[in-house]
Amino acid sequence: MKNVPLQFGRGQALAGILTLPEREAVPGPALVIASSRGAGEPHAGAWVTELARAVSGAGLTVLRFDPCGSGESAAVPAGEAVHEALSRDHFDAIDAACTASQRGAVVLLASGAAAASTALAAALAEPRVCGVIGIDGPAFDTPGPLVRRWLDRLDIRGRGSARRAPATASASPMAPRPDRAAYLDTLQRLVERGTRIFCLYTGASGARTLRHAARLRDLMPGLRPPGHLRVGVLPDSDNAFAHAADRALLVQACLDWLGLARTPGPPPPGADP
Amino acid sequence: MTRYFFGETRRALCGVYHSPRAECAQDAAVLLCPALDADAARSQRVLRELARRLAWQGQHVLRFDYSGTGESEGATAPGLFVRWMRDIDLALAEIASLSNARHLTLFGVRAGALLAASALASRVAPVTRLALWDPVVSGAGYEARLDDRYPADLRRNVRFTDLRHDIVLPATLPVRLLVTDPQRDVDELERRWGERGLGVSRRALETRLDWAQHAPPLAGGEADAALLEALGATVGGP
Repeated sequence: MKNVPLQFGRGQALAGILTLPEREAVPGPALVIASSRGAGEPHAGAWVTELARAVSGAGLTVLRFDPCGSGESAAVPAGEAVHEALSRDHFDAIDAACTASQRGAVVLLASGAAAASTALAAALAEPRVCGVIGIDGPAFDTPGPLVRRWLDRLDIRGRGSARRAPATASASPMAPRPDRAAYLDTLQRLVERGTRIFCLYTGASGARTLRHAARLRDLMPGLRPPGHLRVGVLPDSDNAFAHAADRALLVQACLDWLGLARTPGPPPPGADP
Repeated sequence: MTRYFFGETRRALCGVYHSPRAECAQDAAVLLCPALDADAARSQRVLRELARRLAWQGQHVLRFDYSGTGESEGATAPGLFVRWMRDIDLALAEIASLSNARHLTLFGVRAGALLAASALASRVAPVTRLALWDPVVSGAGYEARLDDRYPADLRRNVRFTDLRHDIVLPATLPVRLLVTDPQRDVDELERRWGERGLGVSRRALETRLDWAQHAPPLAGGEADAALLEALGATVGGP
């Protein structure tokens, strides 16, 4: 594994770190991870680095970047809306990852409803995106799961969980909640194009009770082929993946979806003998 | 601004070096020791702005992440506290070599202040000023706030470190405190270090920050102008 700091985008405004596989790379796309939800947002957490290292350890190149106005990147240009800047940042990151990895395809990963929605929109506009992982992306109520949720609530005391993730997720102020019809249209068109999508929900998005998979099935009954859209739930994780066990689950879920096997390989850098 | 990795192979530290504006380069450098976890996430952007400001004023500035945190390499394995001390040594050597400056300020934020002062106390370093922003004076209690990925011995080391009692600094070292979250133990630290003959000066902001609270990051822009001004004066002023 080799880490290479990168400046890219208009005026070299964006900062990122490219993690290159140490052993021979496996065929596959580069993974592009937005390290925060956008301008004014904190770094998403240690899971970003851990995931990048695990994926690069399994043979793929990873670019993790700070969107404008966060981390080491420059501020959002004056006069530009924050969500427009985030969208442009994704295109710049796709360019940078393709160039650096010498691959023609990338998978985007974004966390949070607005950021995941932006990543999906960028994927639709950019044919080099072959997959999107959205963590706690947008979700919309449908009658079936809604009714079942209320029924669950009636019986909630009998279903006590040992550890329930706090609902720390909140709608980001940087972009309006995506329009339901437009969101579904984006998903449908991406799936029809053959772009793989992994919607991963944590306890912070109510993954324990909100039946995200059922809601998506209800929203998109005609969705074909279903294998292109996977829903994963980590009901006991919070969306910052603050616990090591939650980060391990996230990494494993992403490796599985990417079709990569976690390789034991050499000891992690810096590990004491 | 240059981001790069330095230090030991396979344990490289991620640093960001801000070179001074050429026309007003001073014989002065600053090493920023960041906070940890939530405090680090909250203060990262404002420290970036501070570094840019200091570099504009002519100082060499180096920011870095401790081993196993941020973008730095290294596992969060046992022995981490000692390794972080060594990281500060490495970073001090790095900024000294980059700048050749005679005046070197070591600046620590929150737990970074605890680490910076501890690092200074245990070795001879070419530091000419210590600046601390809302230092974690005692690790007892604070260690509970640390992320669970850190090993147990780090928590122990942090828990039993207390700047009021354990740290003996060179008596000639000027110390500057910036207090934005007034705590009784900071008052006591100031008094005790003063009694030991250290030249401690203190600056306070009227706007209070509460580090224990979840809050959005300090943007370092117009909204935090007073804070940036105070930080600049604490770290970079004459």
